[in-house]
Amino acid sequence: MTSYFSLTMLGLILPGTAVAYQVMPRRARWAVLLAASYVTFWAISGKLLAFLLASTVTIWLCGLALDREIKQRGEALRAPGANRKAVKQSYARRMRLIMAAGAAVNLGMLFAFKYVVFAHRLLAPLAAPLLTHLGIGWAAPAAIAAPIGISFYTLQAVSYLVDVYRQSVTADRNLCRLALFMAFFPQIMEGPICRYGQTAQALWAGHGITWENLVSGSQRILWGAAKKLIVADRVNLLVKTVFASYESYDGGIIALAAVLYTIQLYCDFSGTMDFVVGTGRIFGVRLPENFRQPFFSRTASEFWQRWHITLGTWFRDYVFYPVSLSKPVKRLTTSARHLLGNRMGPVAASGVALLAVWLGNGLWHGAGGQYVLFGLFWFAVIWLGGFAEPIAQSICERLGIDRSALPYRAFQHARTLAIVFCGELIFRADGGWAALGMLRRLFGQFSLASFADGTVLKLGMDGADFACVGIAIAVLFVVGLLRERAQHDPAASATPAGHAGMPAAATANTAATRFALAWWQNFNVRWVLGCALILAIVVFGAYGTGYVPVDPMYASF
Amino acid sequence: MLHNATTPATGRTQQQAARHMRIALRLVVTGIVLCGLLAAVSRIVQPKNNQAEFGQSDPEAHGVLGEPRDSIDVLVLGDSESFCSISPLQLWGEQGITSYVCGTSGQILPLTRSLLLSALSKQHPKVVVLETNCLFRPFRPGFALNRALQDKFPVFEYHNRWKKLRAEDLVYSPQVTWTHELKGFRIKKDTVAADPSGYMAPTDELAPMPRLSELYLRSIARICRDNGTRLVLVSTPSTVNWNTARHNRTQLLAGELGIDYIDLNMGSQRVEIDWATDTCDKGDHLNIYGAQKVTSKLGEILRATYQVPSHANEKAYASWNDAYARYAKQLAGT
Repeated sequence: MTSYFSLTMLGLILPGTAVAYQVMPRRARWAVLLAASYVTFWAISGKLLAFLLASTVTIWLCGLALDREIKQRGEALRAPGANRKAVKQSYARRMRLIMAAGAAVNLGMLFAFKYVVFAHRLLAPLAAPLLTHLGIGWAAPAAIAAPIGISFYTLQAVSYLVDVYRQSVTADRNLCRLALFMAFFPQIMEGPICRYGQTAQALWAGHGITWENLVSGSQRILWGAAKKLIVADRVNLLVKTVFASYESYDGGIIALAAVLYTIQLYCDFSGTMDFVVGTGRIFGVRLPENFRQPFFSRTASEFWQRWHITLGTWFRDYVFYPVSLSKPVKRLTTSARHLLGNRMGPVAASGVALLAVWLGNGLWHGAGGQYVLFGLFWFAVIWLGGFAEPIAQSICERLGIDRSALPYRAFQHARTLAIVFCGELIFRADGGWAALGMLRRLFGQFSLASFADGTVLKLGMDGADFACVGIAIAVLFVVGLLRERAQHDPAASATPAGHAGMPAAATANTAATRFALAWWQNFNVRWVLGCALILAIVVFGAYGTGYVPVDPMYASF
Repeated sequence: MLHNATTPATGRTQQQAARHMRIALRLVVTGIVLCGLLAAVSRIVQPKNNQAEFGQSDPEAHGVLGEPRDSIDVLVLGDSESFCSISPLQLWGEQGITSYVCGTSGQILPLTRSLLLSALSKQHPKVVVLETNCLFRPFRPGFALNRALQDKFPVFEYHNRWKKLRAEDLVYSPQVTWTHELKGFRIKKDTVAADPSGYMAPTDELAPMPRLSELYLRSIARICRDNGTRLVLVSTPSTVNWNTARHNRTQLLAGELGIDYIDLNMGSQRVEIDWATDTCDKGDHLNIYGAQKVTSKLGEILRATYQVPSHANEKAYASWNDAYARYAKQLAGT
């Protein structure tokens, strides 16, 4: 079982867990979820489950230690004649130490599994001669298989420790509850990266499975399966061909591969998220969303507020803000204000925190030159975008261009899409040099000859495949548009329909949208659409003979 | 008035019961409608004949369906060891036995069971020979579930034919008129010698067999019993795939299930394979010379032990003589 859309998961694990969960008394349901989570983890990673257990136990112990410090600090502060400043400083230092130790153990495990080989490769030119000179051996470490989802659960572990340290959550004394928060089986492979305050109590509560939750959760899973099986796994045929030997293709084909890869990544990852959120819904747990129509973004920054949201917010809360608010960066901001003015100064100084975020983001995805390049690319785009914005504003004002008018918005959408496609091309490339080589071919040897002579139909996808993907993307676009139009009304997401991914009709702002949404909320219509979707997945899904099952793409990061 | 009144609790219970009834009804209706739709689409995308040109998967194995009804006395199932080792037309030529090999590359037991059921819908063989290498091929529960779905609704297997659908696919019913010229056998003419040192060395070890395989073998044995067919496990020679530990495990299981087991690598049933000349790929599979030896031995056993009849001089089986003549011509070219 390597995919959430495998028959083993959809036909055995999920239904089996749901039945066992429902027949158990409420106070024991957490045990069913925890058992299913560990069985799933074991099925994928075997004995490496020990590392997940180690992570869980370390944050539990550190959490308890932090809790003890917090209580002792309170008592010390209440003591008559206490030197409050000295007490606070003393406890702050000890708490920082505990939190840092817990984070270091967890990040250390992540480093050992994911980055040792990469670090060795980077350091070898410098360290090898030196160590050889000192008579110390310098052997290359062997790459080892990492526990599934280590990148995701490590970030959850660190966030828990920091949240306890910041006292935004209370340390959990219940090891089992913390274990379930860390291992909940739909989240194991690809997140979302949850905060303790978001899911731990809901997972533990053991709410019974209701008909409404079962229906809306299943609809969401079905929608995800359609994205993954009809679109993502189908375009994979062309994407893997082109990226494996990009030297054989002109810029036109490389551009097509970059576009299709972006679509593949979105449909694969957001499709899996649909499974995760839908499964959570079945068990009465509301998991955070990871996508919010990212391709409707008008700027690169906005794109990252809509794409892999839980990763973005994690880096915002645990890297960007701490770095921005650190004393050296505050001093730098003040200096930059004096030098560049109140507008550009903070933008320039924010580069430090942004660089930390984007290098971290790139490297979190994997140890490789392409991921570093990917991080630097987005850092450059977003940081320079901060400088360019006032300039663009001023040019538009001088030329009398209405920035809220459709043509300008269309330009912004197109520009953002082009940036995203380039970024994903770097991300998918087989190493940093390959990424640069592909970009060189994309811009230096752009040609549409391969489209005219039919080469494009010999790369794994035939005309029927392109038609199938085209129709599916049109459907995704319409659904995305409907969601986008009703995005800003909180009432929309509060309804069962909202949770299934569709907004409420009452919130729609045009007659056509209102009609479409009212239609969607009719049970019979949803029933017919559900049956049609199942049939579409069965017939048009890219599975069986001629297709290699594609593992969830983010599971390998 | 008091007699007719219902308490709030009773009212709630009734409402809940009605709600549960409504939910159950919706589930049942959804299930029926979905099954109906899947069956309808299956009929459209299913190959309209059992040939590769029509999109049939494993056409050689499905060729058995193109044989005249109740004309096959021995059905052979298994992975590539089966179709490289047992030649039905040689069995015909030597013993007058009609047989067919429903072997497929890498066959695992859910497919074996499926092919058996499919063949039994048209044939009533006296003996079903199961080549034992497939007993040791592991598979996931999901694969078994997938196979079951494909058997019920062929759209799960042939869904990709949507790209090649023609108007006739909407109208015509599936036919099965084609059969394989070698009755499922594949002639391997190459010779790449194997190193047989240590092959079938004595040991008491038991090779591990996937638990699911055991369950499927029990199911296959039950199907054969219910159809009045004798199931026989046969191990053909292969230095790469077979060993004594596997033999021991198979013999133990066959004993438990009351199934006959013939190991052509050991004892009185041993076939003398020359590993310098009788294998096409270093002992993984037999070539035609090895297959001829195995088939001769198997033919003798089938006639002597299982009393499989000879149809050699029967007019109804004249087409087998034609097929044998073509086969002999092919062999003469080797």
